[in-house]
Amino acid sequence: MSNRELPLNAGLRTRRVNVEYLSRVEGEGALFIDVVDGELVDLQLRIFEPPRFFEALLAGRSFTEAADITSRICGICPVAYMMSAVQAMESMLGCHPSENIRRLRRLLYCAEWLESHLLHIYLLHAPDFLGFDDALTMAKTHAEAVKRGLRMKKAGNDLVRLIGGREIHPINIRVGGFYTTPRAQALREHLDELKWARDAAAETVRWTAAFEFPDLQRDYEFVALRHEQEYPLNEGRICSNRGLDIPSSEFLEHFGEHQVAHSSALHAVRKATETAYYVGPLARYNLNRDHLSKATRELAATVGFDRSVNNPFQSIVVRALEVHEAFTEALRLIEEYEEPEHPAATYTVGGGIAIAGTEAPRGVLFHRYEVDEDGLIRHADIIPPTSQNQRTIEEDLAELVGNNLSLPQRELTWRCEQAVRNYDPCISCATHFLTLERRDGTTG
Amino acid sequence: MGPQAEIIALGNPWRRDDGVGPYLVRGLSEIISADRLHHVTGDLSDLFALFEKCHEVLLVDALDSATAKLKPGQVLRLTADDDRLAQCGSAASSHALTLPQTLALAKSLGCLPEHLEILAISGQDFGHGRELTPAVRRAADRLIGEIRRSEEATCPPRL
Repeated sequence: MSNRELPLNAGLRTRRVNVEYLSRVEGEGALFIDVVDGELVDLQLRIFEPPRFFEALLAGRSFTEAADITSRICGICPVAYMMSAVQAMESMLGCHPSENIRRLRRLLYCAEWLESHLLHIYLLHAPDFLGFDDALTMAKTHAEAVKRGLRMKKAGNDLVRLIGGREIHPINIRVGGFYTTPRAQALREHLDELKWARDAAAETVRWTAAFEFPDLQRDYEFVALRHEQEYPLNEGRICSNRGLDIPSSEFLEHFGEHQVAHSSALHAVRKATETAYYVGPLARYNLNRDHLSKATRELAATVGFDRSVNNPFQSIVVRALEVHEAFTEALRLIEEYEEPEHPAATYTVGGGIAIAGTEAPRGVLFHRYEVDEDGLIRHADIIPPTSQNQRTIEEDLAELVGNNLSLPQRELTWRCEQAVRNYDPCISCATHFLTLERRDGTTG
Repeated sequence: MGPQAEIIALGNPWRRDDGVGPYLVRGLSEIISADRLHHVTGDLSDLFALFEKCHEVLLVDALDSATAKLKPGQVLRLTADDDRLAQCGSAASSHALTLPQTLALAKSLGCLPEHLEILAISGQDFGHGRELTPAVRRAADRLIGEIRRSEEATCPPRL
């Protein structure tokens, strides 16, 4: 809390926005903004959830355990952690899962996007646009919409359960592939529900596109994976709208992390310029729109979204378009599914540097491990999307507050919270770092 | 609870007494058909789809004896708006609904079953493991017996 005393009745140009506990985000954070005489003097997205020490927990564990351990960082995007972890290890070992395994992983990742995006759209973010304090209140007058969202989310849950073993913290993923793979018939039993859900996703796009969006256009550096043919999930080079085009293995040469006093999550920046950047649905959409299915591109055009999107409040529509794409892609993958001959590719245990980035629902999730010749992890570095977006969120808020000083206090505070939720921040993901000081004086 | 009630167990069978619901459902599987027995673990939002199809539901969950100030194995019979439901699981995440939140949302959505009874069984140990603690196991066995007798009184035994 700032010690600064603001004058009483100072007028609209001297304001304090103080949200001591952000709601409808995952984890524990707060927001503090001071404006004096129209000048922003303090702005802090405060993440006070304690560090969770996952990187330190990984030291000394087998490379085969990284997926299951890191999946516990997040209950809503565990598949993303598992995928980044196993693909990092496979890259190090020269292990190449079959095309059918690759497709099954893509299907599983689609299902996780569905779980995560639908929860955010219907239960966490839509209430902001429709003027409700929470989804419980919203459900009283928008019951059909909420029921639609919950049924769609269940379709995602069911797929994660079938492929991953359970809907939260799946247990069926391993280096090389899966422990067991589903029968084709078991997947095809979901086709009818998924077809309903794809249509419901189109309705979701129309529903969200009709919301009223606060005006905020920003010139972001968008960073996302880009694959040669596919909308990115598991694979691709790390690209930006400002010319970056690198393999994941070069991520740390271009992106750095800093500790700031008001957050227990590290802030990420572009190394060369020390500037913020944006990861997540808008970045994916703006860099990969050409790889969406024809159906999703046509749907986007009907709501005027066949363009780059630079208003972060419109991320809810882009999430809805990604939901449509995920259902469309899930249907295609199931219809074309062939049961893999082997559930996992083989490999020989070895050491080295293991690196991978995948597209978690909230954006690029980067993993890097140092593994010794016995297959034990010596060092782990995990950079989740929310920590990468922190500085961008603060910059959004600075511009938003500066542009909206005429708003009454309640509306300004509401708008600021809504702006934070544009990113669907997962604070619990972001607070896993640890700088460990050893007794020999080294750090790691 | 009538003879056509659906029985929905909540809880994680790998976390000792949290698995009392699944234990109870397993114990009833010989006399109640599988399509009336359900187990929901993890994401409680899956309950909405079940509620849409059910007129009468018996929900079985564990609650923490320390928080509820109850003896292990004690059983509460609750309705959906009972304040004591708050002791059935805490909000570990804003990305997950608690049981009271789930029931409140179901009520807002108009999909709360017309007849809903919640059997909340006071658990003692929610650590890792498959075994129920003795008091909880005795309570669960007693409930299985009660439900079995009620079923047999209204339906002829399956041959």
